[in-house]
Amino acid sequence: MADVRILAIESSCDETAAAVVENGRKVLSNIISSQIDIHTLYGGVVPEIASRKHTERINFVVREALDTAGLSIQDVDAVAVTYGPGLVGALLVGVSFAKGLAFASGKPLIGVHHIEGHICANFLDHPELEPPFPCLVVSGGHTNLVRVKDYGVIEVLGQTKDDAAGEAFDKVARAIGLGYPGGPKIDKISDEGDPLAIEFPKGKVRDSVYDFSFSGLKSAVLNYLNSCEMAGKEINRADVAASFQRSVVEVLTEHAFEALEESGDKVFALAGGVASNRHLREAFEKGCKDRGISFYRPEPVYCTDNAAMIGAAAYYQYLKGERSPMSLNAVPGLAFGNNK
Amino acid sequence: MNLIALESSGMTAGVAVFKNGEPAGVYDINNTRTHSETLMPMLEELKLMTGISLSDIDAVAVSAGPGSFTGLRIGAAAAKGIAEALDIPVIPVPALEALAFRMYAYPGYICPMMDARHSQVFSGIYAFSSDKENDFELKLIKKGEAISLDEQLNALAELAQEKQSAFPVMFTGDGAKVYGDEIRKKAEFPFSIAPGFLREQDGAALAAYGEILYSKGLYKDAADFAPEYMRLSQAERLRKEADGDKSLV
Repeated sequence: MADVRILAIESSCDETAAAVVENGRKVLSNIISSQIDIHTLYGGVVPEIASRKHTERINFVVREALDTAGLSIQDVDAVAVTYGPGLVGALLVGVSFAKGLAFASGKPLIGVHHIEGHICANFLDHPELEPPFPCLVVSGGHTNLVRVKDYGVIEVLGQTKDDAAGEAFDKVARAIGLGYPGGPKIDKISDEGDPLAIEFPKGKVRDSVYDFSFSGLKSAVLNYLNSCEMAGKEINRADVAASFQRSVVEVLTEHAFEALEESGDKVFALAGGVASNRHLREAFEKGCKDRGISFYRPEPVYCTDNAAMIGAAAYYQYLKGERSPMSLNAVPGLAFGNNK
Repeated sequence: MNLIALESSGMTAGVAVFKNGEPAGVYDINNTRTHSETLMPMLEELKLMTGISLSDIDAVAVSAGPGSFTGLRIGAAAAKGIAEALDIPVIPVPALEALAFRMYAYPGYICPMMDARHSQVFSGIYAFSSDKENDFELKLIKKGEAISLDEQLNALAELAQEKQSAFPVMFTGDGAKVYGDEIRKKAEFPFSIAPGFLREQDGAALAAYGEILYSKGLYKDAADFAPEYMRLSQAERLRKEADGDKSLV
């Protein structure tokens, strides 16, 4: 079969990204223009600013993706774009641009689910990885434990009932004065802290085996900080960070390993921005090794938001003949299994 | 010179194809706000029905703002994608000028107004002149900006007194409808409010005015084009306020 090259576009949050991916596995280019410097000024992503920046940068990013791949728009087989979930204004820029590009170049359009993209990031570095396998997607906006039954067939086992894990990292980091984005900063300072210093609650949900809840944990951290302040007790930020992180890592690994035990799968994959968290990764590496399970995670560059992962997911939709119409809209709360 | 025009700055989703100054097809939908779902299917339909070939298109005209932030971006991003694929430039068409241009050859002052919320309108003042060979040209009288209705009415009252125009001021745009009662109550000069079929944005005026801008060299590489919002995001405004910078609030 002839090679299939897909130009993919991603703009669901604060990264403007474009990539060309061959046959869903080989990355020919992967361009990411991050806006993090701007949003850091505001302590988090400002949707209107993100949307404006995407509009300013999208042509440059797409051009560079095609140039780096050594291709013109006429050489690609399809245009793929993230259409949800994410920030509606931000998504709309990528979706509208991709529709204009696909329409004018006569190429098919493929709308892709952002979380499916994160999961498929695992295919990029690992040609041997094939479904079925359970996958934990952890990022600033998402916490989903799923089982990939087949390409594009995803069963949701559990998800967060309130804050995403990454969101909890950001909020706790802000509370202890580490700044934004919180994940990498907490990961780093935790090395100097004692993870057993403070007993924070675990982000479990009663009667719901695989779901998560991180707002209670976040409140517990804030309450702890308040009570220390009231008592005039000095706060050890490294201990708080390490103890908080331990609590998050424990609930994520416990749920994932319960799911693995139940399904009997011998393969597990981690995905999303928080997959770059060293403590989380090490906990999974060890846990998988102990259980004889092959552990996969994408390279760090494919963990955070990028378009190569969208190109990987789009390839399997392309093979199934899935095409999106010119009426494709951004769907901020897009559920799994709704690909158009 | 052939062009595609995309209008999505307000309630209207409008697309048009013009060939050498003549409309080949115009398609407007005025009563929805789901531009993301309508604009591109409309263009697809228009292409099919007019039988135009995209390789004949020289530029994409698009409403450059002000207007609904999201609406502007739906049009802008689509235009940028089309222009990228066809390797042609984008013609950014100021939304207020396109609204004024719909009143082609009107002899009095034209005041397009778009509802900008926060007790403001996006508004400017324009007039047509016909100094060369009976061709009418749109002239800027007062620059478009986010402004209170009262301020704009005062500016128009001064202008009316100063110039003694024989013709009423023509209000147009959705702001003229939203603030119609207030205008009728407060305006102390002769005026008229444009009827619905001329009042709102449309693809044809955007295309026709876009073609004029193109002939003046006012087009851009798609990568360099972004909408002119005429207003900062709320987060930026609050930040400037906190910094004590009132000039941009």
